[in-house]
Amino acid sequence: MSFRCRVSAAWTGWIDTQGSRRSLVALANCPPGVDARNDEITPEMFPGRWNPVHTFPEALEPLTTAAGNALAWAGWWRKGSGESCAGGLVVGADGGFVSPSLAFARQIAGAYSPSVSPSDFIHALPSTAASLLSMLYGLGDYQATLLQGPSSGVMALGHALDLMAVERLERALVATLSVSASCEEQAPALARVAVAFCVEPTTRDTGLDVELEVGRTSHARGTTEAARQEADGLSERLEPFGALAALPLVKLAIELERAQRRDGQIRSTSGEIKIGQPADEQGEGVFVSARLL
Amino acid sequence: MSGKRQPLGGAEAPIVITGCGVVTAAGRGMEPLITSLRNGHSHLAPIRRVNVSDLPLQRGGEVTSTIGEGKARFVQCVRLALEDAIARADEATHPVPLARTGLALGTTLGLVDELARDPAERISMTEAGRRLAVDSSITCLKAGSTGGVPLGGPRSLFSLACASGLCATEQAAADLAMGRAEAMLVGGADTLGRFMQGGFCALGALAFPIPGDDRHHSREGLVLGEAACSVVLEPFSKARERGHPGRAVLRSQRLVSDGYHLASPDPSGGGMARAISLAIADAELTPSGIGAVLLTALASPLHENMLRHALETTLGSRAREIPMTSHELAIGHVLAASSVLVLAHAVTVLEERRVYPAFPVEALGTDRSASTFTASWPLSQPNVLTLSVGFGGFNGAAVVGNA
Repeated sequence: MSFRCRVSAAWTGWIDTQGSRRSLVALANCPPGVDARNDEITPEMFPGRWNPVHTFPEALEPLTTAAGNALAWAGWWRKGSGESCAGGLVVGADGGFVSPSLAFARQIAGAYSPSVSPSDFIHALPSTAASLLSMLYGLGDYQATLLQGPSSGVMALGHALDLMAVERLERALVATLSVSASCEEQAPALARVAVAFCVEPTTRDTGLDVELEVGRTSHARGTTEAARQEADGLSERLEPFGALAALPLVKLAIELERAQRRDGQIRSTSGEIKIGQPADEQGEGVFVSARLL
Repeated sequence: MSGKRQPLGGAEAPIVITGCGVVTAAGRGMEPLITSLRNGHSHLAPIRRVNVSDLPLQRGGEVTSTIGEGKARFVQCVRLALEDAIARADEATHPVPLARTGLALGTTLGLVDELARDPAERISMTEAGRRLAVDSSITCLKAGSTGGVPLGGPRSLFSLACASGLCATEQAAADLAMGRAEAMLVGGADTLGRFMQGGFCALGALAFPIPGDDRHHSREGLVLGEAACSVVLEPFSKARERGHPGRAVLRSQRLVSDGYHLASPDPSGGGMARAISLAIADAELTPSGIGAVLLTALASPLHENMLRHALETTLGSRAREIPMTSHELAIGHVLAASSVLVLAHAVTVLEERRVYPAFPVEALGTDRSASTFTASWPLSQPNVLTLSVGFGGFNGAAVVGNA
């Protein structure tokens, strides 16, 4: 089932093992007063919500950055305001909690010590990403975390669209974090990637009107019809992420941004963006398709 | 953003509960659990299945009935709950159409205990999530028939701590509303191992042992249990078509976040109060229409005080008249199974029209003694309010009414 909505903003970026953060793409529909070139999200931007002495939890970066930029660009949240942000939150969890889980498992592998840190346990919970985003951005509405391995990102978008379609949710931030498997081997070209979308009904002046559909397919392997990243070498840079959950949404953000830059020219070419995620061992995959309106 | 919402199930509303499956420390099914609550019997005991002898608290509510070990243990618990729920829902002229039935499951940590095992044996959390999402041994039921019958509807897996089942319910209701399935199994499950027990010990969230007394623990603090619970949700029209009257109606549900702290609830109870108010309003009721309140996260002083504030704020003077109870008195805090188990418990309360045992709202946040409880309390109104709390600021409220 497809759902007509407005993608008010999308932001995607990564952190490599050297700690440098780079933006991949963002929909360029910044509201007045927002500097699109300044994508820093720092602890000082959350008065009353986060102690600026503390950095954001490493296990969840760059998810906080992706979410903050998407929210700011959608005009749902202002950097430094400390205000609450209305809307639901759906997170696709894929690997961000693995390192803390392993760290906590190591801590309690021997005899238990009262000095065991609860921090790793907290971050071992797949739901902690939603807790943190909720706290930082004052997202006080419905929350959910999808835990479906490589399908988590697409399924998170699908869950949000479903709840909007049945009028259980008015608008939603959909965010997904993937950590590449090679991250744990300390030799990745690309270690972590996050993507965030702000979606809402087609009632606002800004943003990109699209008809989005999320579905399952038994032949999704290789159906990345919109994988046209050769021009800027994105294919190579995204390669380490293989079939991780954020990838389809990253590709969707890239394609939507391109379509917007071309002022909707895509409508006269393929007319539809369709991105698949490889089938699982039961031969079932997921896809997201977008048709510009 | 917090205004009136379409009912669960949309055009397919009302959604009814036609079957429940429960596996807890009390045994298999709701009956042994209700008997334990009625008799004041607790199944909390020293944990024997895994070595927790070095942890500050060694007590919990272990499932002991015919369940294996390792990752098979989690899957077996879930599967038993699903099979039992379907069996109860099948008590009609026509069985539940499994080819048009989906599954939405919630878990706090799923197969995380694999991480505390030998590194050579364990699997990653990503792998665990993927396996759970597609595990055919979960989604292929009625194994008594040749090869079992696969569920043909959509499948999804959520993790929102102990409120995970609420997300599963939302997705299930949406799947029904959109015609993707004629029935949906909604489940919640977690098992109790060294990782889970150790994590809650590290958080300082568990009760304290009483030296020299392994039959009791301190009043303040959680005691964890393991459980799997499942309910079958169907549009009332579809249930009626196959000759099932529905055991109860899921009238409303709300899940809100308080965004207060990564590990503690908003002490003012503001988030939970919002969830309760919205759930009651969505059900087109007032507090006078609520006959009982079923609670979770009991014995945590932070949560009990939060719950008390929220209930007194939203129910006003009615809060002092409504009986409250919790399955946790018998089996402990059962993590992601909590938010589904309260639905099954509500069905039983509505069918028996009694609450076992009951305590008043004033008892929340206090050092309850046996005299605080009333053995049973009649249900004065045909609607039960269920409250679920998820670690990390998630507050859920649902209203379950007579079918």
